[in-house]
Amino acid sequence: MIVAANPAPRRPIKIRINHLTKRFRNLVAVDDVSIDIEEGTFFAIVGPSGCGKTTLLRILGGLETVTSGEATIADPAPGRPQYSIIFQGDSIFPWMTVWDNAAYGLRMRKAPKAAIETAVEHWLERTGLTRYAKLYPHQLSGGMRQRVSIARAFANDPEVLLMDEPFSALDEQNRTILQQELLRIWETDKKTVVFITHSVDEAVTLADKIMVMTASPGRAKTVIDVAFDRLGTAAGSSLSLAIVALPHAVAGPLLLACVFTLAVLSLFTVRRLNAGYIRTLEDSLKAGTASGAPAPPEQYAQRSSCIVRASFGSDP
Amino acid sequence: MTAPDSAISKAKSSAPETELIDIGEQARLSARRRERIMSFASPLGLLLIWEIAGRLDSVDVRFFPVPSGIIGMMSEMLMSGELIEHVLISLQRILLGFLLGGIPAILIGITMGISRPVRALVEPLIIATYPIPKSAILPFILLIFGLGEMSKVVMVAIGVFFPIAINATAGVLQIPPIYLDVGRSFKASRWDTFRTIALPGALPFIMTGIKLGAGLALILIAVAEMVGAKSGLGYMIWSAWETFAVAKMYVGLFTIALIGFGISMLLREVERVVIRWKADA
Repeated sequence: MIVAANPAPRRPIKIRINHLTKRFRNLVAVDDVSIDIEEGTFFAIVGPSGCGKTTLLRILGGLETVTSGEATIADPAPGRPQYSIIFQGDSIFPWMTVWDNAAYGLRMRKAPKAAIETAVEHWLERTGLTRYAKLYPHQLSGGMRQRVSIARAFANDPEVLLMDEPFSALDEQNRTILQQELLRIWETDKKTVVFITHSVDEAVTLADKIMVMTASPGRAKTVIDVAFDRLGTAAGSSLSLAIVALPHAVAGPLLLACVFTLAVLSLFTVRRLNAGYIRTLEDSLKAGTASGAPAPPEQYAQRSSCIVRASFGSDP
Repeated sequence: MTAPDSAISKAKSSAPETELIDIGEQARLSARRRERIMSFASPLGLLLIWEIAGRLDSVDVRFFPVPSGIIGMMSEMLMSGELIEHVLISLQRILLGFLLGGIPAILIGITMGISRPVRALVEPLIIATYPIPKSAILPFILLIFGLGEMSKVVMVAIGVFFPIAINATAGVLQIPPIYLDVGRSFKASRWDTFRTIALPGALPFIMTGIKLGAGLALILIAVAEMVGAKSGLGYMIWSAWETFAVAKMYVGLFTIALIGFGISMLLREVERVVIRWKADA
């Protein structure tokens, strides 16, 4: 089954997966998956456990070999690494401090000392870890450790980020915070991201495009193009803007109230719309044989001016 | 009526509270102090009984010279520099043996942990040679290396090699595979993988191997020096036996015990520093 994500790509193809099949003895983990991922796309792969999504990512990351077909990431610009992986669960080295963990990728590619220092300090700052730089992982919470993992991947400054259910081991609250922070970080430099998750909710929150996979054998079911405009984030940031502005806005309480109300309202609307959309998507997943993504609800497309395009793959 | 009332409540709220804390603290402190005193008391008590029994002629002082006599002999040997000389030469052999056996043990042990082919090649050799009593190969070592320094150093090296190598392999094998994946995903070279993942990950196990090796090293250095040396603590004990200088023999035994204690204290400190990243360290 070939899924053409977009018939007329505007940006260069960064990742090409072509008739990829992976077999572990008799088990077909990935069955003939083809997909092109454009540069700068936040690409999520959703599916139940055992659908081969992690295998797919490990193949992209060079940690597994292919049985047939190919999976290639375009060559990086000189001096930049091709990709970094953010793993599921604890993957930061317990024997290194937060600082040394964040510096690991740069050290492995023998970056100059000064460059390592600048990058590590920058990304520790961005991930809110500066205060914890000298601590060892056992002194941090699970959420903090996953931040270190994110800092380590971003500090390496790769062209592609491969993320394997990075937040699945976290509690609800931490997951939401880290999702928002990941988006915030991603917005600034728009790396190509491949994000594995089993949560439709998470995929819709984060991704531009979502590939839905089915289990045993792992097949690509659908690719959904989500031109979301990330209204959720917009609402979120105007809300936080309102909160930040709170102490300074003594002069204009009326203005403040307006911004605040607007933010809450827009957040609420987007939430409701998202929820409706997610429900339909989940229903189609449950239906299993359904060969495509749901069309977005009529009022959704109209009221939020969000465009959701679905391109359908056909089973062989 | 209110005044005494408040006085009572004050007394209740402040004084007993602090006192209670004090009592708990003191109880714990005194318990710890008592334990420390007890741990000193048992060996000191034994020495005291020994001394008294010796003076009363209840034990044969030819075999069990009184502790005060041993201490006298010890200070005499310290003054003359004889004891220091033997201690230093023994320590030097132990140290060199540790380096000669320990460094290859760490390298080979970790390589065995990383690489399955190397493990398949080397592991049978280690399994086959490990059970041979190290003291039993002393004649063979003397044959090869002669009576010089090398034979003693090699004995220690062989002794420390096995526990360190075996523990290093086990240490690498228990490293969660995800850390090796991380190394590969960041394109760590073979040497970097060794240096930044396998070695630090296996270090807690390697430290256990080193501690086991230290005990073996003391046994082996004493045996090796008794048979094929003209210096060192083992030689000193052996020659004391030959000349029936029993007090001197005890000085040797006591010194070896002291060195063993010192080494394990030192290693415990080293361990605390090198694996401070462990949650329970």
